[in-house]
Amino acid sequence: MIRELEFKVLCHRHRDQIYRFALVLLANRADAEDATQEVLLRLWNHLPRIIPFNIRAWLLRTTRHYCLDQIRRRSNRSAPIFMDTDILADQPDDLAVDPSLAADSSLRLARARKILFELPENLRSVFVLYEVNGLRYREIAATLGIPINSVKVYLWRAREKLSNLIGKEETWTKTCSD
Amino acid sequence: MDENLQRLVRDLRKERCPASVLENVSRRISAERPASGRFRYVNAGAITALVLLSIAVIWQWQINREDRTPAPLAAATEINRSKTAEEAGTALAYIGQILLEASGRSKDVILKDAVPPLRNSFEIAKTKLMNPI
Repeated sequence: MIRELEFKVLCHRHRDQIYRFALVLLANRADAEDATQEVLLRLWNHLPRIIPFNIRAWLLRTTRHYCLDQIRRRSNRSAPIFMDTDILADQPDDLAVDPSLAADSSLRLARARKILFELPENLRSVFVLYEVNGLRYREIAATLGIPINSVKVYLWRAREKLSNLIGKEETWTKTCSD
Repeated sequence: MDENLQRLVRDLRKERCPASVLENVSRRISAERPASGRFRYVNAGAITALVLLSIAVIWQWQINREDRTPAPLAAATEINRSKTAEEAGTALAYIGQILLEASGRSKDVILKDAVPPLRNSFEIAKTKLMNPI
């Protein structure tokens, strides 16, 4: 009974972070849902043995391992990696008012996501964990099993690369539309 | 941070885990639970049976050991006893023989060495008494 209650609380607290992390790693909604499901099941099975201290790091580490395993399997099967670029189809853009602007904004976001998905895994992980999930450097280091300085370096590189690539993409789009 | 990056981050933060994921997790957990419960009882039963079997085996082994252990001892004791008796018989026979030999020799010695002087002295005493000076 206590186990179920604890599990529910942990699920509600962490499921979105697991899902976001899996989504960025796998670049696919269905796979991210499967990953979240699998991680939550692992949480249920390991709950009596997990030390409650820093459970978020455990969950995100498990998510990463599962996702990397899935990516490896996909590459072994040599199946094409499906990038879910119309990920924003069902998401209204709050910033845009004009439908044409909204479509343009959605397209830009989709491109930015695609660029994010194409970053190396370690940069992507650090970027998502820090910027999207709001983890601290120390927590990211514990989750990924790397030194704190590496976390800082990876984050800086991820930001740099993303800014450059998104900037280049925008310039190229503008040039094409002109 | 770049405006585009900020928008990307904001957009990613909007992502929410669908409720169906939790429903699926709950369904899978409830589907696994009776099986695991059954397995738990089976495991408990198997462990109990194993413990009981081990106890029975150890008990039987102890009984067998107790039965077996005195047998060699008794046999050894029996062997020792018969051997001792045999040795004692031999020793007694030897002692008897020695005593017999000793008695034979004593008889000879007494008859040869002690009896004649005694007889002589008796004779002397008799003649002295019969014929006083």
